[in-house]
Amino acid sequence: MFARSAQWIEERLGLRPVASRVLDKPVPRNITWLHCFGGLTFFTFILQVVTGIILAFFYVPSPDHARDSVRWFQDSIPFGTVVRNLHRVGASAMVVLVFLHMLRVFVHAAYRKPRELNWVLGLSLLLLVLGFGFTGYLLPWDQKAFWATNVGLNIVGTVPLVGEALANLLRGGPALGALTLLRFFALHVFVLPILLAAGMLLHFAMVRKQGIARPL
Amino acid sequence: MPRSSKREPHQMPFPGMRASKSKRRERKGERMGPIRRSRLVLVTAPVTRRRFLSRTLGWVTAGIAAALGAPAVSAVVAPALRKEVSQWSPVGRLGDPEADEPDLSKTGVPLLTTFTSLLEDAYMKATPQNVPVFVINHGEGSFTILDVRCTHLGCPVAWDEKKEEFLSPCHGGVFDADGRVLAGPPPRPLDRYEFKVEGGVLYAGALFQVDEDLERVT
Repeated sequence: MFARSAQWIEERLGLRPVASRVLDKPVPRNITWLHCFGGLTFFTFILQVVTGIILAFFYVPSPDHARDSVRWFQDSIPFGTVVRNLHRVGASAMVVLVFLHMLRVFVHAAYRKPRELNWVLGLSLLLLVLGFGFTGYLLPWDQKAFWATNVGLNIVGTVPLVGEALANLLRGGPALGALTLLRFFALHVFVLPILLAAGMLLHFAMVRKQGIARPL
Repeated sequence: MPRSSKREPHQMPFPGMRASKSKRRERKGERMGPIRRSRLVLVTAPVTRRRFLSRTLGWVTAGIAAALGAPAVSAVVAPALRKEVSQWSPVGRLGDPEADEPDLSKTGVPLLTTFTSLLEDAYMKATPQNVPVFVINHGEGSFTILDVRCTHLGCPVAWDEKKEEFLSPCHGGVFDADGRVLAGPPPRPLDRYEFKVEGGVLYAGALFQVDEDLERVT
């Protein structure tokens, strides 16, 4: 159907060799289904980005309207419930898959030289994913969200020396309120996605450079 | 340029047009050129394992994209397809008023009263209470519901019975009994609400603006 257009573009840009260099990489024979968890995590990331963008069309990060806007999205918009629950369940699935991926790398001892850097980077990606979960949990602004975040921030407060300052920084002051919601929203929607995307690119680039670890 | 290289007029296609279908059909009988032959080979290439897998992968990917894309697109597009529903808020009962009820039976005189707005805007459920308006009964079921806010900076205007004018307390805006600007800085006549009478009750609808001839502009 698009053969002619593809041909037209190909004549001008010559992208086929580039694509084949990127995509036609033979995988080693020792690949198992267990090696899929990383890719599945990436798939859930795409899922979260897509559903998250749709939610952003309707969500209001204000204590006045956060709950109403979420409720209204679910009740009045076609597929609203589906989209929101995809985002909610997808978040849990992402954390589970990240852990399974980490477990696989651990059991295969794929973190050993020369892949230590990628293991450490992977750990920071894990923290980012957990950060997504923590910040996203507050956004619906219901009782559970409010008190769970309250507990979470109190735990942050128990960190020696800097704990209280750190908790206040996250909370936007001594009391959980409008600023906390706005902060968590900004982190969830702007800061964390950029960090995670950049980290993932680096993660994949390193896998490509170093190849997949040989079996034990 | 040699003469022979220029095509005869009847052979020249219009710019941007390919040879006509009949021409192509004529060519079918001829021996195929190398390009046509290679295309035929491409089309009828055997389904190798690699081809099968990459096609399957492509279709599965397309399926997932569609399954995710359909809810996404419909959710984002849905609000655009919602019909504008005019929402009506009761202002008062016609007929003999009981205590605390506005007397809407008097004709020709602006009556200051309040109502509770039932307008909803998506997730905004706020119902502003005590919205002040001037109700003018023209008789025979015809009403004008004027917003009390001066169109200059929003100060609430007051009805002066002797002068039969609305006066704004802030910058000297003056409106006549129909809300037209008589003096002062207001840029347009007083805003008004849609009205309807149903079951002996006067309802206010959406707020709108009018031009100097009291023709609705919003």
